[in-house]
Amino acid sequence: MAGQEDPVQQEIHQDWPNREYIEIITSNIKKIADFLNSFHMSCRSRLATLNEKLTALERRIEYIEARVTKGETLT
Amino acid sequence: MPLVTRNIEPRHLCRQTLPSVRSELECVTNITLANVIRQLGSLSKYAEDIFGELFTQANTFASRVSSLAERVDRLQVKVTQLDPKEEEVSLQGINTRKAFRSSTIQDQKLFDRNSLPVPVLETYNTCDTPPPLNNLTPYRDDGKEALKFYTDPSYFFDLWKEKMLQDTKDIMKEKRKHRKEKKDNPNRGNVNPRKIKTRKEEWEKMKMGQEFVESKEKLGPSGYPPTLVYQNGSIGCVENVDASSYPPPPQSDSASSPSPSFSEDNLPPPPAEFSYPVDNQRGSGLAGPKRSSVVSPSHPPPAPPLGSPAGPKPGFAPPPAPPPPPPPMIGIPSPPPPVGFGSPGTPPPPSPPSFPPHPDFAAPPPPPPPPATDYPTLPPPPLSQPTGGAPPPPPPPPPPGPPPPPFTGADGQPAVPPPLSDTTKPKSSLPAVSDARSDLLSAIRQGFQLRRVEEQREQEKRDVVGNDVATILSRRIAKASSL
Repeated sequence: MAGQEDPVQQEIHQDWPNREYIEIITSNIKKIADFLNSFHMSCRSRLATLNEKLTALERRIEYIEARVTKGETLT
Repeated sequence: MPLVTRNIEPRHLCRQTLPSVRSELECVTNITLANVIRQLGSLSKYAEDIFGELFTQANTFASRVSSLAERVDRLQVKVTQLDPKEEEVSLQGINTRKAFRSSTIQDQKLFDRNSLPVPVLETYNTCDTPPPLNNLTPYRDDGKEALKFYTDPSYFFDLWKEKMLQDTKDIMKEKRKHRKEKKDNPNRGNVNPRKIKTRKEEWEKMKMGQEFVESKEKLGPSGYPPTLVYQNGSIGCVENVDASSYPPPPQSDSASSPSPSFSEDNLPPPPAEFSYPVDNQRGSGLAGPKRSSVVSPSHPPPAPPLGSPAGPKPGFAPPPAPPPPPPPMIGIPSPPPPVGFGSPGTPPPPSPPSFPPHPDFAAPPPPPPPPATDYPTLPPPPLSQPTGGAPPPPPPPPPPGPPPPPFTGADGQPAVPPPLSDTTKPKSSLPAVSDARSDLLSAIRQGFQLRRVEEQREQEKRDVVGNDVATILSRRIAKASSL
């Protein structure tokens, strides 16, 4: 019995560092995935605000152009 | 159920059956490491997708910004040139100039198949496609796509569109009625003058103190809208609200109760219509193409659930067999009977023998030989008999003169005046007297024809002009507001 346990125990004992290694890798993969998601979301929200500002600017410029031009065609 | 946009692929690293090996733990370790590598691969793919999306968006914004910068520069130059020169002094200039309209483009079809993000589209494509039922479409008689009975993505839009168009028509009719009423009673003056809204009521309410003002709102929801008891004991009544509540009327508190009930009234009718067209179709065998196309969106869904797939087909076969009259003909057998009974003595109800191709011209010279005998045997083979019975069928626009309209798919109604006038024609026998009647006949025929053509044109116009939510809604609102 003791003989049986020893090699098995040894194997299990040797297995643990492998598992730890795999665990480190997988937790880092999860961190990367989290980072990508949050980066994506923050970029999208910032781009959306930019979009709003751009649209507002475009509308103002349209109005100003209409005020300023005297029937000339805008290129 | 929320769908995940990007799913990293090998979800479970080591949930697999192991091959029979001696060192199992090492085996598991190796398998797990291999799966980790696969996960890294899919992760990098999604990362590339994410950055690509952001990149394209940022690029579009960059181009917009650059064009804006150009415009600003040009404007700057213009404005500096502008100042000291002449100004637009004239008043005419203000009026004749076209007013400034900002671009009123509305965003539409935002959540369309095209705007679906790529990873979700890939997930969608892993699903099975619907069965190729459209291969059966050429075998259908009513010209609808067979797949629409199985799955119709445009069903709700079509339903809504028809409802909107119906509402616009109703609005036009009301308009015409109003105009007529105004025309008819120009001298009547204002029978129902609108009540002059004064603030007196509000001040009266506040007279006793601000705390007592809620009495009006309390009475509303409690179900006594028509009467209001004011503080000093006088009784007033709430004005009635217009039935057309599409843009909600300004008196929102009193209108809130009638308008939801009105809109709910609108909704039940469409489901209630479902049973009607189905019965119609079952009863008449093959509903005429025009009739069913008008009812289209309400028609397809009830048919499958109400009948088993085998059901409708044997159901259709028997009705056509015994009384073959194709549906347009159903209307016609009924007019001839009254005609026949009404004038037994007059030379033959001319219609029976020749009605399928041209209901009006059996009168012609060869007194239809066995019209009387034809009549009882009418139902079975209407088509074969008339061709045998009246040899000069197609041709000779007979005496009556009016150009024979292509009256092949005659509906029930137009068939009634022609047979009647036909019976009178043989009496007076020939051309001379029947001129007025023939003019009337031709006018009637043209009138009916005109309406049909108009309807076709309207439908074509509708299909061509604007099949999207914004145009339909804007048309409806325009008509409603011009009332």
